[in-house]
Parts: sequence; structure tokens; C-alpha cells
Amino acid sequence: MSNKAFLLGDRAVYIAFIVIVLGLPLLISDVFWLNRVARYLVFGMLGIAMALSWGYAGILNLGQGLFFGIGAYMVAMSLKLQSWTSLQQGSDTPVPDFMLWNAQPGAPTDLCCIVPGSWLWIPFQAQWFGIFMAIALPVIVALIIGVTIFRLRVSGVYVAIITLALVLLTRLIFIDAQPITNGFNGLTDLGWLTIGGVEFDPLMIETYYIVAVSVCIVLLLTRWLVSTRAGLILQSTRDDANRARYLGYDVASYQIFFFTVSAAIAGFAGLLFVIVSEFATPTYFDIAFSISMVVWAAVGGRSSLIGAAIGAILINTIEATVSESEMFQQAWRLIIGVLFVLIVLYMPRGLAGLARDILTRLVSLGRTKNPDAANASRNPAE
Amino acid sequence: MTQNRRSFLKTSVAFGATSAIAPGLWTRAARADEKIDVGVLFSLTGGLSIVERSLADATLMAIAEINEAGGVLGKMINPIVEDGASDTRTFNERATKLVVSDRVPTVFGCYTSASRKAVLPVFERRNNMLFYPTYYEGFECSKNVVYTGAVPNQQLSNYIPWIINTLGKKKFFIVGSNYIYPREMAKVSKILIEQNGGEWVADEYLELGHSEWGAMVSRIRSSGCDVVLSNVVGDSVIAFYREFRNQGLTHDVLPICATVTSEIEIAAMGPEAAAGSYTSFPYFQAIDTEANNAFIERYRSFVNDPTAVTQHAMECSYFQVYLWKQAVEAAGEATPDAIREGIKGQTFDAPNGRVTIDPENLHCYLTPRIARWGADGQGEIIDEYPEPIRPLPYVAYGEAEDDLFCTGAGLDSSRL
Amino acid sequence: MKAALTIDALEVNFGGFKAVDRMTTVIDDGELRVILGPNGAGKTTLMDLVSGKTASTGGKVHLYGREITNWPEHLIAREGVGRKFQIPSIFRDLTVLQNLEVAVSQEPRVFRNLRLGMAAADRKRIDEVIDLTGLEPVLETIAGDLSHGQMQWLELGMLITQQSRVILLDEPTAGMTQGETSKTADIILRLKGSHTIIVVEHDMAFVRKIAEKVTVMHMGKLLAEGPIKAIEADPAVREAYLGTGGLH
Repeated sequence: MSNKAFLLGDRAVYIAFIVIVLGLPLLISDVFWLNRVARYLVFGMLGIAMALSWGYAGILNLGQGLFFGIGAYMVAMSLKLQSWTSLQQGSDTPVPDFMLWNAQPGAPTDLCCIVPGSWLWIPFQAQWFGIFMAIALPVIVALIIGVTIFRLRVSGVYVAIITLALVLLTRLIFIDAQPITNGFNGLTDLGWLTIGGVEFDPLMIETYYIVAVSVCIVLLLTRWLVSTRAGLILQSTRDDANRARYLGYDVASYQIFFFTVSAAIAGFAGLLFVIVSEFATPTYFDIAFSISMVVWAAVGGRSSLIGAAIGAILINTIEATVSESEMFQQAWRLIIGVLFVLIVLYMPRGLAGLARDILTRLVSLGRTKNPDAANASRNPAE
Repeated sequence: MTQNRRSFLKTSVAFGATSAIAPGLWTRAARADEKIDVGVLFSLTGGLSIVERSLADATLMAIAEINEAGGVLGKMINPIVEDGASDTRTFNERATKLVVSDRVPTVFGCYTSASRKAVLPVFERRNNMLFYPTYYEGFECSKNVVYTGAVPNQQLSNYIPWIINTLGKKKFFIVGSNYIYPREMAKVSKILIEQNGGEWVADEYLELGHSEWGAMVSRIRSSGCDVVLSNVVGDSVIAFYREFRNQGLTHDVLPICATVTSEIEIAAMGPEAAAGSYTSFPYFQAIDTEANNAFIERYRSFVNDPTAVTQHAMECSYFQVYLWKQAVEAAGEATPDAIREGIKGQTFDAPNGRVTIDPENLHCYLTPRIARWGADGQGEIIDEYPEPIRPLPYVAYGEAEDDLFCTGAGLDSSRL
Repeated sequence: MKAALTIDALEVNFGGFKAVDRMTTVIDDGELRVILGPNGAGKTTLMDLVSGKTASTGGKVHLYGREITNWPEHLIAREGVGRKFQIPSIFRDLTVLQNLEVAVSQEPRVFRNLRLGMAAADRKRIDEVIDLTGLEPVLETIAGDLSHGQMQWLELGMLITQQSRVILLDEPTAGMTQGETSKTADIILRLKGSHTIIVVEHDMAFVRKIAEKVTVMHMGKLLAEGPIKAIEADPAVREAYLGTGGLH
């Protein structure tokens, strides 16, 4: 049955992806490039989060950068306090340098009270707290947002607008709270992630592997998640929420759960991104960034986890290469915009859908004698 | 460097499209025996490019001049120019590329303190050298940076007493862009203002790039101040001065005394908006010496613009390359550690006068000056120190010439 | 006879307009009840009130003795009410088989559903439903690609899989051919007894085939109730349908 062909093809893509991602350092020894690839892999993880939320749950989150950015800042706060300069501000306990710049003359050089709100940083002196909050805080925020809008049965375009407004609002908050976030300059000069005494230099193969392995694990776990009955029920709520209710499902609880999982993945991605790029900035809350995640998922195929991941990685790789040449750089935005419109109009299931169509055609070519081939058409999302 | 080429080959196997679109990747690998690569990192696009482009141009002009005269240690300098795009994260990424991928031994770059702070970890962690040509707020003591721009004791320590005693203005309205430089300058200013018997009535900030100044100027008018101390940066400056004028304020009654406004901003806003206001810099285009006039001519010819203006940061961008050249020659090789040793005590006759790199804190001896802007867009120098003075990046904490906080041994943070 | 669904003075007031006006009727366990009435009589609205889609403004609804008035839809569904809509409401981007799998909704909670596959008993029930509805050939077809008739049967199949004790059918033969209507009647008759079925219908030929007791609604109110033959002879019913040429 063609179902088997799809399963095989699907499995092959997953295996190929994992093999390439984990085996890349054997091909590329230039750590600078590996670091770049690691960043794209993180964007791939964001693609997975987007596919889960948009493709599977039918929730168009135009503010996914919100969770990414929160995750980034949480771990960045811990790493900032681990940085060598934080111990150079004239105090025994670490104090971020920018707090000193923002402090009134005469303020005590201590996290408790150097600037208003600096006490919020105190628990981040423990690295594990920053890591924990990088996932916990996005989850909490997502729960609050989810319970509010899904219990109120807000749907479709209104969810998109609300998430967009929230990421915008958060950006303003982070920029405005300059004394404790360093405003639009973001958190720079961070220490390196230290596990068991080992410091993870972003330009180190081991750091690449932290990201690569994480992405693979998230990919497989999310794949398992959508293969469960809960994943199937989630898709039904996407197709017809009312019908799902009439079958007895509390649609809101499914939406809240998966929205929150998507946020957790995005927060984790933010954490990993800071580890490889040593930087947390309010640009993570830019609307353009959040919307570009939607474009990645659309191009790759929003109903396919691996499709969205590959779409994200591909687009960012091409964009980085293209920006080496100034001529292409201007044209790039235009190209991406046009590509997005074309895909939405003519190829709504993105590259993944295209791949499946090709596979279908190949399979039916090989089965012209089987009458079932006429009926068996494309399988839904995996 | 051939190692780099090999890995680029492997990269293009993995990313076929990449190499097809950008063949330029291949040619970047340099041969160490023929030339010396250096990085040039400024904002060529974005809101700060209005100033930073000239810093890049001045750097490239110095490099061209040195190459024409035979290069450094007999080798040509090869500038690798990168665009920081007025975004701190881009600065960080470009700096990482220059230091880690291109393996330059030195980068000439950065204008805003935000961008310097963003790239600092790259130079410190990878042990490389940044030559930073911009006046800044001080409070830094990195072994990986050579600071050739003015620090507060060379920009404010002369300025504030002069405003109070000579100009007779005692009530300060401090306004700036919202990031570290203006904030720190404000802090130092407040200390100096109080020390000299003045008072400050406000300390306000607007975002970099902000161009709506109506409300702020109204606040200035109603504050009862008699002088505005401006630490506003970038193209916001233009909007500020124009709005100031639009609301009927004049510099003879309520002058703007700036630390950032230079010939470039004046040219962009139109001299009428700034005529009668003041700025404190070690360098002005109006410095009337043979050396400076020749410099201006060469620069105008280099950028092919007979009306091009020169200012403090770009003059530093220019002479710091010469200082670097001397450091390399003194050390005999172009590696970060050698350059750091070689730069200590290097001295050069720059267009603004004699400049020397302090061997303790790697900052630059400069001559403080104050100018009043005229209707022709040029500054008339009305106050000038007789000779260059020693840079003290921690003067606000009480640092003095005989009591340095930042020395060759590092920063003595117990003094803070 | 146990009462499956008790509707007691149920009404809904839309800003002065009573779409359902103090409607009272009792449907017994295992019964097949047909609800008739001209357009606008309030039949579908009555279904909406019972299933929780619309909030009532007066009266009560009891399901097997338990009051379910104005409960949220999914709780009413869990309590045992299944509903089939006039325009087939199925999951159009899922396959036919997946639709049926979702309809196995005895365990609706998120965390309980975080597992692959389903119990053998549930598999068996789906197989029986596939048999009953004849959907075997199109199991892997995307539901949105089915013919209209097939969609109706799929929805019906889902209701059966759902194991609702009470099934509300809103014009189940709308848009069907004669042959399809006949098959639908067969399915419904096979369900009678093990399920309580309430059918809202227009097609009198179909109604005569399946009906025992009939409830007639008119302008939101109960007009007449009784065996099909008595209803057809009732003068009040005839008058209500005046202008529509009587009951066809």
C-alpha cells in the first residue's frame, strides 16, 4: 500500500537529516562555519515549534519570537553574571556592567539594589536557574495566554493579532527596562555555558553537538507527540473544533497543551541560540523575526515537522550566503516575499507537500495495475 | 591559510548552492607572506552610517597612504571591510568573523560604545586587538583595545568649568540618547557640575534614532535651565537642533553645548540650526595648521567630494592606523601580542597635534579644545589647551595622573 | 420505559423572538423519534439547545435523569449525546480512518491520550462501524475528498463509534440520492433499540420508512405528537403546513 511508501520515505528523510546534522563536523572543520550552522539548526527548531502550533494545532502564532526571546534572556542573565567583567565592577558578588552605567552615583554595587529591579537578577547567579527559567517562563507565559484566549474561544486571525501585539509589547518592555536589561543593546559579554567544570566555547565542536543533539531529540520527541492519539485529536480540533467538541473533547485543553509545548520548544531554542551566539537582544522580539518564522514553516511545509525545520535551515543558509553580496542583499527580501506569496497560493503544503506529491507520482507510476492507486491519494501531515 | 581553503572546499560540497552563489568565499584566504590583513568594522548602512562611513573612509585613506609609501615591514596592508549595519549584534557577528575566520591581527572599528561593548568579548576571549577611534565615556581598561578617542577628562573636565566660569551658565539640562555613552557622560558631568558650583535640573534620554523632539524641547524651555548639555548621538542630533530652532530657542541665550555634534551633523542639519552652539573635541576641521589643511585636502580627494568635512572621530581613525604601523614595525611582526607591546608609548604628529599612546592604559594623549559653531558650518576654536593631556578613563572615580586605576597590570577594581 | 431525554418547557429568547417556546417532550430509551415541522419551526434550534450549542433562556433538559441544561458541548457529548449536522461536519484534512479513530472519544483527556495506538476493543468497534457504513474502500482517502453521501455516512459512523446513547440527526438525507437515502434508512433502523435516535427531517418518504412516534413543531411550540398515521391525519398539522401543500 502506498501508505507504506510514505512511511518509508518519511523515515528515510528523518534518518538522513539526523545523520547529516550529527555528521557535519566530519565534513566541516572550520569552527566558524559550524557555529553558523548551529544557529541555523536552532532556527530549524523554531520551525518545528511553528509547525506544531500552526500546522498541527491550527494556531497561527505571529509572536513566536516572544518565547524565543524570553528563553534567550533567561539564560543570558545567568551567563552574564558568570562573565569575568561582572566581577570587575567593584563588588564581591557579580554585578552586570551595564547596571553600573545606569546606576545613580552613590548606589550600592550589589544586585539587591544597584538599580530599581536589579534584585530580579539575584537568583540567576546560579546557572541552572537561568537554564530552568529559559523553559519555565515561556511555559508559564504560554499557559496564561493560552488559558485566556482558548477558553474564550478566540480563534483564527484574532489569535494571530493578539500574539503579534504581545511580542511587540514585550519588545518595548525589554527596551524600556534599560537599567535591568540594557535596553536595545541587549545582553552581551556573557560567560560561557559551564557544565561539570567544562566551559562550552561557542566556537567548539562540542558546543555544536549540544545544539545538534538537542535539535534531533526535539524533532523525534515532537514527532512522537504528534503521532499519539492526542496529536491526532489535536489535528481534529484544527479541522473542525466544533465537531471535536461534539465528540466530547475539551478543545481548549488540547490547544493550551500544544501551544505551551510549542512555546517550550521556542524557549529552548532561545537558550541554545544564546549559547552559540553569546548575545541576547530585543531584536529577538522584532515582529519581522517572528513573521519570518512563519515564512520558514510555510516554505518548508507547515504540516510537516521536518519540512518546517528544513525550510528554516535552508532559507537562513541561503540568506546568509546571499548577504555576502550586497547586490543580492536588497533583492533577498523581495525574493523571500514573492516566494512566500507564491507558496501560499500554489504550494500551500510547502516543500514537504511537493516532496510528497513527487513520491505519490513515483509510487502510482509503479503501481499502474493496482486499482487502489486511483483512490489512494496524499496522506495527511506527519 | 590553506587550511581555510580546504575547509571552504568541504563546505561547498555540503552546501552546493552556497558556493554557486558566492564564489567570493574562496578568494578571501590571504597568504601571510605577501600582505597583512586588517579588519575595518564600521556601520556602512543604517542610522549611524552618517558618521561611521567617514570613519571607514579615513581608515582606508591612511591604509592607502601607508601602502603607497611602501607598506608595513615591506608588506601591503589588505583591509577587509565589514558592515556593522548600526546593529550591535551585527557588529558582534562581523567582529567574530574577522577575528576567527579571517584571522586578522587587528580590527580598526566601532563608533558607539554599544558596538564596542558588543565586540569587546570577541577581542578579549580570542586575544586580538581592536583600535577604537571614538571619544567615549571611559570606565574601561581592556588589554585588547587601543583607545585613540577622547575620554571624559579630555572632553568634559575642560568643558564644564568653562561653561560655568567663562560662558556664565549654571543651570544644566542634560539630554542624550538612551545608551551607555550618554548615560555615563551625564554621570561624569553631574559630578563636574556640582564640583564647579553649578546645578543640573534634568537628565533626559531619547532612543537612538528618535526624531520626535517636540516634547523634549518643550521640556527644555519650561525647565528654567540656561544651558543644554547634549550627548545626543547619530541622526537624532539633526532633528534635535532643528526642533530647538523651530521652537524659537536661540544659542546666544540658551546654548546647546554638545559632546557629540560634529562637522558631519552640522553639515547635515544646515549650519543655521547650530550657529552659536558649542562642542568640545580635541579636533576640529577649523584647526588652522598646515598639517591639518593638507589632511583635509587629501581626504576630500580620497572620497572624491570637495565639500567633505572632517571631524574628531575620523581624524582618530586616520592617525591610529599610523600608530598601529609604528607598533608593528617596532615589534617586528603583526600579531596581537606584539602589537600590544609595540603600541605602548608610540607617538605621531596627527592633524590635531602630537598624539601619544599611554603605555599604562592604552588610551591617547590629546589636546582638549572647545569650538563655537559659525554660520559657515565651521567651528571657531575659542578655548584650547597648550599641550596634550594624559587620558584618565576613571577620572569620575577620582583617578589622577599620579594615581592611575587602569595600569599595565589591569584594572584596580577595589578603587571603584 | 426509561426516559432517555426529557425536555421540559425549554425555550430560547433571541431579543424578543422565541425560536423555541416552552417546548416539552419525553423521548424514551431506545426510541426512534422524528421531529417534523415547516422551515423556521425551531427544530434545529431545539437540537442546538439540547446539545449545548446555544444557551437556553428557560426550561430544563435531563439526560437519563441527569440535568444537562446549558452544559458546555463537550460535557454533554461525554454524557452521551451525539449530534450529526445537516452539513456534514467531519475532519476534512484527516483520512476516513483517522476520523473514526478520533471518534473513539471515551477517554477525552489530553494526558491520557499521550500514547500511540489504541485498545483492541476500540479497533474492533471501528471495524464494525466500517462494515456497517461500507466505508472500507475509502479508508485512506482524505475526508474532504469524499462524495456528499459518503461524508454523511462517515459522520454517522463517527457518531456510532462515539457510542452516544442519544443520537441527534439533523436532516441526515439532505442532498442524497434515492439509493443513498434508502441505505441511510437501513443504517438508522439497525441502530434503533441500542441507541436512542432523534431525527429532524423533511423527506416524508424517508420519515414514513423509519418513523414510529412523531413530534411536530410549529413556530417554536409543540404542535402535535403521536404515531405517524395520526399526525398525517391531524387537521392542525395540515393547517400549519397549508401553503406548503400538506405533508409530502
